[in-house]
Formats: sequence, C-alpha cells, structure tokens
Amino acid sequence: MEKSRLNPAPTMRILLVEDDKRTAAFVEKGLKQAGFTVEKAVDGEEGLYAALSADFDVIVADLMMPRMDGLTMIEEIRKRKVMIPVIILSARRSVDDRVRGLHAGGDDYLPKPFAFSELLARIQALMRRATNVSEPTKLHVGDLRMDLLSREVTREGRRLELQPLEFSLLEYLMRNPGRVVSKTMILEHVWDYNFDPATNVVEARISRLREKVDRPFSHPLIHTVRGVGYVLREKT
Amino acid sequence: MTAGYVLLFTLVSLAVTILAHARLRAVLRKRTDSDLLEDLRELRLHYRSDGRSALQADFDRESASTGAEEIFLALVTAKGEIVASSDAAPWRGLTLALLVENSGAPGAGVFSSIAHPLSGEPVRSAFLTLDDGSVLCIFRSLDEENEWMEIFRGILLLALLGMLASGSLMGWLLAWRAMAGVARVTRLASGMGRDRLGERVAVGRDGQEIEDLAVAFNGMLVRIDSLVRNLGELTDDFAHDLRSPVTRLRGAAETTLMSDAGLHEYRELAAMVVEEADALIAMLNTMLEIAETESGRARIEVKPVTVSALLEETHELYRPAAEDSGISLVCNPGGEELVVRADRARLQRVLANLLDNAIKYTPRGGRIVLSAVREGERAAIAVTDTGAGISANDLPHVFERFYRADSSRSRSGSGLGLSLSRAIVTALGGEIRVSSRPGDGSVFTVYLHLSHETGT
Repeated sequence: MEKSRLNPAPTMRILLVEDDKRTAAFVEKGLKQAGFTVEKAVDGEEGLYAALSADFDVIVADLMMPRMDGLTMIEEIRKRKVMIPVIILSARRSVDDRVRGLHAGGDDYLPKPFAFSELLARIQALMRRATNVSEPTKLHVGDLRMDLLSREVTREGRRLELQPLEFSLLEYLMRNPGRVVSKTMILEHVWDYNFDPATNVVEARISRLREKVDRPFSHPLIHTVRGVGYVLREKT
Repeated sequence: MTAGYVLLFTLVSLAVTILAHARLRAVLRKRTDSDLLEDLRELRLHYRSDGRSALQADFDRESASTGAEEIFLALVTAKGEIVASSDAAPWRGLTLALLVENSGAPGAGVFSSIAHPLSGEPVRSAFLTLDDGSVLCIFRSLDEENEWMEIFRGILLLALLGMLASGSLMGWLLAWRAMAGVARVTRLASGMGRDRLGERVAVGRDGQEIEDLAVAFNGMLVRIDSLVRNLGELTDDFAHDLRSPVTRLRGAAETTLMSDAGLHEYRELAAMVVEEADALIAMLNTMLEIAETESGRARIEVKPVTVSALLEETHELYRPAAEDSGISLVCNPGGEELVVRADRARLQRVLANLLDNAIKYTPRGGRIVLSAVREGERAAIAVTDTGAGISANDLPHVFERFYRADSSRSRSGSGLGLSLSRAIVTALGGEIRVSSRPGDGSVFTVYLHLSHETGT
C-alpha cells in the first residue's frame, strides 16, 4: 500500500484501542504503511483518556477489553460531546451486537476477522463523511475516465463497451483508486452478496474486465495482489 | 394431593346434597300448600251451595278422618268470632283473631307456619277470605310432610356417603395409577446420564394420559440421543476439517522457514496463509450459520422476492466463470411472474451453493439450467446439470453436514454448503430435493411458497 496516493493532505491521526498485542501490532503496521499516524491504547480507560486529551481523526476500537470495555468507552466519549468517528472491530458479529455498537455511538462496525483492505476502505469512508466531500460525477485513474451520469467509459480517448456488471465493478475499483479491494469487498459492494461463493465469479469477471480495459491498451491498470485482492492503479 | 381432592369432592358433594334437600323441602311445602288451598276451595263451594250446616258437617268429617289433633278447620268472621269449626279441644290457645287479621283479599290463599299451641309441633295454616269478609281456615300439622322429609333425608345421607366413599376411592385409585406412571418416568429421567440415553420408559396400561406422557418422553429421549450422537460426529468431522488446512499452513510455513527461501517464497507463503485462513473462516462462519438457522436463532427476514429477477441476477453473475469452465449456463425463468416469500440474501446463498456444486461437478462441454416453474401453490426453482451425478448410496446423505461422497472427498469445499442450503430452505418453510443418476447429471429443486404480493 502506497503512502502518497492515499494521503495528499497532512497525515491523519488514528487512535487504535485494542488489548490483543498481536492484533494491535498488525493493524498499526498496516495503518502506518497506509500513511496514517497511529497511537495505541491497550484498554478502554487508556483509550478514553487518549480520546479526550488529544486530537484524532478516527478511532478504531475493539469491544472486549479489560478495565473498561469498548462500548462503555464509546459511550463515555460521546457523553463528553466528542464526535470523532469510531469504527468498531469485534469478534462478536451478530446483528444485535452491531446494533448495540452503533447505538452506543459507534459509526461503523467491522466484524473480526476482517480483510485489512476493508478496514482501510471504511476508515477512508468515515473520514470522507466527516469532511463532507461531495459525490463526484466523474472518475478517472490514469487515462481511464468514467462519467457516472452518461455511463460512458473511455480510455486513451476510445470508448469502452461495458456490460452492466462490468461497469459496476469498474466503478467500484475507480472509487478506490490505488487501494487494494478484496474479493469479499467486491462481492458485497458491487453485487450485494454477503458471502463468497466457491466458484471464482469475481476472478472471472475481473478477467472479462481486463479484456476490455487493459488488453487493447499500452499498459494494464488492473492488478492482482495475491492473497489480498485487486487494485486499479497506474503502475509506477 | 389426594387429600386435597377428597376434601374438595366432599365439599362439593355436601353442597349438592344440601341443595337437593332444600329443593325437596320446597317442593313438599308447595304440595302441602296447594293441597290445603284445594281443600279450602272445595269447602267454600260447599258452603256457598249448601250453607253453614253442610260446612260444619265437612269440618267434622275431616277432623274425624284425619284426626282432631292433626287438623283444625274453622269459619271465622272478620271480627274474629268463630261461626263454625271442627273439634277445637286439641287446639286450645290458638289465637285466631290475630291470625285472621292477616288473611288477605277475598279469594286469595294466605299461608303461614306456626307452632301448635299445645305440642309446639309445626303446623301449616291456610286462610281463604270469602266474599262476605269471613275467613275459612285450615290448620294442619306438618307431621306427614316431616315424615317424608325424614325419609328423604335418610336417602340423601346414604347417597352422600355412597358418593363420598366411591368418589374418594376412585380418586385415590386414579391418582395412585397416575403417580405410579409419572413416578416411573421421573425415576428414569433422574437416573439418566449421558451414557444411558438408550433407555426408554416402559409403556404400560396406566391409562391414556400416562401412556401419552411415556411415549412423548421416549420420543424426546430419542431426539436427545440422536442430537448427542450427531454432536459427537459433528465435532469429529469438524475437527478433521479444521486440522487439514491448519496442517497445510503449518507445513508450508515450517518448510519455508527451514529452507533457504527468498523473498518470493515468503510472498507465496504469506499469500497462501491468507487464502487458507479465509477458507477456514468461511467454514467456521458457515457452521455457525447452519447451527443458527437450524435452531431458529438466525434473524430471517421474509419478504416477497421475484424469482425471475433473482435467477437472472445469479445467472449473470456466474456466466463468465461458467464460460471459463467450458460450461453453458442457461436461465429459464419461465413464462409466469413468480413471487415467493423468502429472505432474499439467504435465497441468493442457496442458489449460489447449488450453482457452485453444479459447476464443480460438470465437465467441460456440459450444460447447467436455472429454471423456475409453478407447482400448485409453490414455486419450484431448479438447478439442472449434466454432470457426474450422485450415486444411489450417497443420494440420501447429500444434505448432511460434512458429507462428502468418496468421489468428491479430495475436492475443495467444506461439504457444508448443501447442509446450509437445506437449513435455510427449511427455515423458509420450503423443501429442497435432489434427483440424480450417476453419469446422468443431477437436478436440485427448491420448493417455496408463493406470495401474492409484488416482490423485489
């Protein structure tokens, strides 16, 4: 994951509240690699203290922690009118748990285990929401351009004929330029499937897309990152 | 408990007996009164037609036949003077004047009970006022009535005792038998441990209810027994399926570490770890989903779903992958617009599972058809393939958890997909069936109830 693509602005600060050392280590590593500044807290109390005493852009919080659990911490933070967006990470994945988390004041809920790219995408989404970025009507990556209103896609000035599902997939990739999106993310956001079918439907669709978007042109834009997912970017 | 029943029964019987007694008495009294009134009316008739002397003759005759102590008749003026009467000797002390004051209007009979002036025995009196204001009176002792009451009382008492005795006896017998049967069930249940689940309650002839209880209890034992056994098998299968990928992961990691591996190998290893971990997580989640769906804990949202839209979506999603495998995928949504009541996301899952299997087991050049037809009040959604088919031995087991026919044992996949599909379809109130022949392909059909609303 590259730094510059993601954070042209001053570095965003993330507070990571997680009691499991190993989890905290890999999340911190991934977030730092993505260009964020990360501060860690090992339980709800430390997390609450940090949230109130310093300025953060996003809080990533676990729920089951000693001394003070995640839900209580979030409630306490909100009680003091601190509105930093909070994304909850928890092994508890039932609908009830999600509802409780959001009710306590969380803004998003990502069940464990999670794809790191998904966490990243959601953090971005939260920050976008927080800064009220307006919806774009045109997307571009390199010389690939997509007009969301006219549904026209061109590359190097040439028009591409895409089928509806190919269009949606490309749109999703273009909305996450330079960010790796996992198969599950694609299934969920593009096709509204909350599971991964055994058949490689995503791979097959990506291959069709590549036929139209990459093959006829000088260089490919769609890349596979083995074990993680796909990314749309100009290879530097 | 039996004592309580006996007490209750006694109270009820007593209440019934008392009511019967009161009723009898009322009826007898009414009888007596109407007899007296009848007599008075006859006397009046006679008096009107034949005069006072005839009346006096009647009085004397009556007194003679019934007995002067038993009956007293008199004709009294409005002022209380006795104009005629039967033998008054046994009735000395009767204050007629007072009594006559309350004698009512002409023609009406007035009754009252008094005590005999000499003996104190109960006496019933009836007065009939005549047109000229004088009053005809009869005083009759209630001995006869009382005799009858005595007899009735005797019978009632006997009946009561009889009821109490037999009722108590029967009640006690019933309770004893019931308790014996229940005691047997209780004894078995308390002595039941995990290893004795094979035992059953002896079903005897203790009466229908106890038999039903014993049968129901045995049924429950059968279910628990099979559940426990299933659980045992499940954990064995699950453990095995968990161990395989973990073994692979560990092995790959260990060999990479031990060898003189370069960055590329480590990259490969890391990618493999992610893939295997994902597969494991998917299996875990599927297992949880099956358990939740089967136990009813899953939150299933049932809404109207348009079948053709769902089929076309699924078809479109799978088309490229099917093409890559050299399989022709056809969608046949049928002429009619079918709408079913289902949880859309979960139904997607079922269709995807069936398609996954079809693609896995159909060779290149094969054909898979997605179709939907109406069958009575249900929609029949079918996935038909020209694949390897399922042997008759395996066919009844395909929906079981972790079941994998020998031919498919080496292939990827957890063996849970069909079991989850069945759990979902069952939870939606539908049915899933398979028909297949080795070499001939298979047809998996999902039956769901039709909805009459417009779907999504």
